[in-house]
Amino acid sequence: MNVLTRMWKREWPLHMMLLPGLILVLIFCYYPMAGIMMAFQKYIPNKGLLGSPFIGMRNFQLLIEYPDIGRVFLNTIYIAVMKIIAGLIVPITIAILLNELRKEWVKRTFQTLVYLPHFLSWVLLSGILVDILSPSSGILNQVLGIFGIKPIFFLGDNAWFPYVMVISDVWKEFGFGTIVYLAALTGINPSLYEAAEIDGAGRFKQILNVTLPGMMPIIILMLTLNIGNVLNAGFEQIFNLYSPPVYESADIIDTFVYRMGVQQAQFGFATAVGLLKSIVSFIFISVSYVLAYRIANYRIF
Amino acid sequence: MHNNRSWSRKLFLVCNFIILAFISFLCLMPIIHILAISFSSGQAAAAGKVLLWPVEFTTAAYENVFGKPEYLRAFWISIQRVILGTVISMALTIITAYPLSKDSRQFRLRTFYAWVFVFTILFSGGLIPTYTTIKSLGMIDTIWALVLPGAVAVFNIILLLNFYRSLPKELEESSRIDGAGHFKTLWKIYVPLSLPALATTGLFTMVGHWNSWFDGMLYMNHTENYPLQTFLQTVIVKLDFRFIKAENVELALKVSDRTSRAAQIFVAAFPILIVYPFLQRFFIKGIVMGSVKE
Amino acid sequence: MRRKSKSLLIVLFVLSMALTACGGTKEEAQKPAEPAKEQTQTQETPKENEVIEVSTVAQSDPYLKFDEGESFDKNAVYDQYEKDIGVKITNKWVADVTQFKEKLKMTIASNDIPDLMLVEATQLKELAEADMIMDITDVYDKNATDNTKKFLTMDGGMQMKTATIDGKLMGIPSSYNPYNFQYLYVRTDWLKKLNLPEPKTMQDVMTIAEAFKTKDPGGTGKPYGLAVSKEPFKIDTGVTGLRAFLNGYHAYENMWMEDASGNLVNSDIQPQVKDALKALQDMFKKGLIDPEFAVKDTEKEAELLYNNNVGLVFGASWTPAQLVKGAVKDGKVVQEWGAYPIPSADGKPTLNQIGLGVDQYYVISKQAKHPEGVIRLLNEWIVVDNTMTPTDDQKTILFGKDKKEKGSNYWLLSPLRVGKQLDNNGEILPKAIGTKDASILQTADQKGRYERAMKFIDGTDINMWWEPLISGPNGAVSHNPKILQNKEYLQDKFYGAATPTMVDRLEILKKKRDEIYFKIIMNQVSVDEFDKFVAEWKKLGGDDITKEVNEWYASHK
Repeated sequence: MNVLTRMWKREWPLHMMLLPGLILVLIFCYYPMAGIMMAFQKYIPNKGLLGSPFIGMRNFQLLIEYPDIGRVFLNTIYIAVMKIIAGLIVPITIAILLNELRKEWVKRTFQTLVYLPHFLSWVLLSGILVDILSPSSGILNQVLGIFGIKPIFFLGDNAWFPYVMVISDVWKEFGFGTIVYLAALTGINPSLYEAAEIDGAGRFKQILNVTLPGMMPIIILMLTLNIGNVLNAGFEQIFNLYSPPVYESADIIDTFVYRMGVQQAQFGFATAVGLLKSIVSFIFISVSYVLAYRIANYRIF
Repeated sequence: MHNNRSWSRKLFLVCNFIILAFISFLCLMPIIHILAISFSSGQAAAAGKVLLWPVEFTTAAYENVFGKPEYLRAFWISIQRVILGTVISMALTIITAYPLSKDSRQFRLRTFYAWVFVFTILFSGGLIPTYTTIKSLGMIDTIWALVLPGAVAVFNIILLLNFYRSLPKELEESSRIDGAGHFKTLWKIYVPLSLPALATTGLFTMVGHWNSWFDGMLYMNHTENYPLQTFLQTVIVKLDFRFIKAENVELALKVSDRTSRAAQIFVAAFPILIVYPFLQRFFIKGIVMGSVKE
Repeated sequence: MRRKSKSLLIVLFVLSMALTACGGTKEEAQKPAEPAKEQTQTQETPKENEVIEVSTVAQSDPYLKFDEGESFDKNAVYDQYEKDIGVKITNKWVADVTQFKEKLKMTIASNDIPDLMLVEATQLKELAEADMIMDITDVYDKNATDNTKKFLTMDGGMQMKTATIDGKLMGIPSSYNPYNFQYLYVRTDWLKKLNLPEPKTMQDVMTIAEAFKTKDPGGTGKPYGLAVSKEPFKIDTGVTGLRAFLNGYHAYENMWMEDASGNLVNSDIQPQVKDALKALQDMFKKGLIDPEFAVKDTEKEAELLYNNNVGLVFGASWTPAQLVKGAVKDGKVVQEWGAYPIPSADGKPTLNQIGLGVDQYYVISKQAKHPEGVIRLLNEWIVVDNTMTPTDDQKTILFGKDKKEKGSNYWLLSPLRVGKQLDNNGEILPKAIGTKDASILQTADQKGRYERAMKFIDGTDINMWWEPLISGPNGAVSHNPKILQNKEYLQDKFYGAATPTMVDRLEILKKKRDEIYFKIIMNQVSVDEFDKFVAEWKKLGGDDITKEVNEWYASHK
């Protein structure tokens, strides 16, 4: 008791600081979480969450018994993991390269230009991609043609489709992604560079020994948070670009759930899939959290 | 030796510039293409004739947007939303990240609290219960429905708490010795020193608020309460052939699905694009170190 | 572990109690008011002066332009309805057409529906099952005028039947003419240039396609035979689809039809489909189909039509309204198109696949206090929309306070709109336009179309090029009388609620179908893969669905 009061005395301002956020989270996140029950129900609107009949694991069963489910999961994970990796490496690299630029205004100009594509929608981009990637008239295939490569049907070929998704997604988002790393770079002590220079380290060595370690906490943090997306392969993008010939490599969990929903408004089914995805994210994030703590002795959050 | 290095350094700088210029070019081209489409006639755009320069130049797609009386009101609502949303969200982020940045010895329950917050980005009750909650709070058709539900931006909090942590411990200690409480320490030491991080999270918040349209559609029962992005979803000209009327086909010749979508991007994105170059000022190197030396 | 899950359950339980408690108090607050109202309602003899309120939800539309000072809350149309039939229309919410469906789903899911709303066929069944909408059999019977009843059963009562569940009328079909046929559109200027005959058979179509490909009359260097888009089998695909092509081979897309013994079978697995796919594969091999069609949506594929790469396309009657984007350029007609009935592959007449003419329904909430108000709205709309000589008041409902057509689409404001289940446009319009005789026109729609066609013919508005191609003497609808007369159409025989196996398996069946159809057309697999697909279709639930559908059919004959 005594310990507790002493603790309270010392820590109460910290608790107080968390209070507003906690209240909002309780109201807008935890309270509606009761809706997770729908995953186990045949939800009937006018009966509400309590009145709707429970149907056990029926919704999950429907998912598992879906004939193509293995393929769909594999596609999702394959595309998502590639996006996570590329979505980490590219922005970090570009941030470092931008950091090496001498003139401030050049840096800012490039920074702003690469951040533009983030504001485009996939609906619009899909039309442009069809043009650029067209085997008959697309600019990319024309360039490849110069090197004697036969036209490739990027959007209609199962061997290429996943990579097109990864590359186009990285293209759209990397500029926005660099912002975090650029902010991280500001935290690195300039004297470390001076010291490295005195030691005779070249620019490349400096990047390796000073810049990267300085960014490491943010890199680990971003990696951990992104790992939670292993089952999010990007609905908007794939939905706008896929077609029956590439279902084999392009159909992901979200597009599948969407098509199921078109047949019938299945609140329970969508909730069940959402819950499953949440659990998987939770596991992945927890594991990486623990690993980061054990290995690097770093608490991500 | 030294000469050699400065030569290779120069080569690196040139290569680096060329690479980045090329990448920027790749990002800029589609934007110019879309800009050209937005200034082309619906007919030319539909025929796919537009490359990087408008064909049959017209401002019809923009007139279609700006010509609507709702435009200004929606714009104003978006401004309000961004300001209110960013202020509230950033205040919460600053104040929430601080206690969570303490280690467990200083603040026993921090890890528990951290997970309480992180849990909310992983699990959600879904649209329906969230909607019902907001409705039962009487926030439908008010700006609060757009501002409050997402006010606790957990991602930003995590980001900021990591920046707080990277600040030298001595700073806080000396401040505490001076008799400053937690609030004062946060305000006087942490906030000024995490400007780059604040600019980053601030930008994310602003862009998020500015770009989101789905909640506007969901929580606003009257179109006059729509924020800009939600309103812009409504101006896309798409012909419903089941009820064709002459004037609709007429309009479709001037403005098409494609040109209106293209114009929408620029009408919507322009104001927020200006914010970024401005915020880049806050990406100051060595801000933390400078303060330690003092 | 166990304890943990238990405590989690308790937390969830408490939370949900709180949630429903929240909703509960609201319902109770509403309830006491109701019985009182019901009493007054039963005593009520239709008092004309008393204004009753009907709440609804509205779709805003980019084409709807409000007069100064008017809005969804207050406008001339609502005022006129209130004045004429004593119904005050209020909107619970307004959403844009593109967002309406999403918002409606939320409204239904959160059990907060208005008195009157427009829902999809599947939603009608869900709402009826959930007991959220009213059985309007009696209300309709008592309040609908004879005119209305006649209007909604012009098709022999088929559409009303689809709105009837277990003998109860649960909604008003948002009806339209189900005889929406598809046609073949061909560049006639190219036919002339290459000295080709008009397409009478599928063989002719092949010949024309090949000639268009090899001789490249458009001079583009990249000619193809037939325009096809990435969703050729989807029901909403009106231009660049392949349904009409299938029909030419007596194959049909996802519909239930009777076999020789009178049982229902699904059209997707019939051997005729294989013939059609074989023909498409041959066309693909010869380069008659754009090899990239699989990734192009209608708009993208239509570029080939606008730019003279392709001169053959199947489509609905309104296809010319799409074609006009390429056909009229700088005030000149630069492409000539002709509309033809779908040719047949074997001399037997082609049966045009048609729907039911209704896919949406107006439903009335169980909580509605004045369902009769909805029926009054229905009566009024039918009268207003179908008169040739509207009175001033009726003009207000159609055009707003200025009582004249000025392109502001005020008709969109009417909360309940049904269309004619039958039209004789095909008989009247080609004749009227051909002879420039306006006196034989019978409906407002015909009058509008006639006027537009005349604008093109007398040269005042060249952009109206599309209307004569739809309604003129050789326009698309001019083929309708023959199709109707000889019953050269086929309608889906199944209109029930989705069966249990359908809910679970229809998606995978469609996915497999699209995959295999595309692969065959694109010559990635042999056409014999179709037989494997049929076997797989049956195994994956197709057989169960067929059984369920036939059970339904037996009880609805």
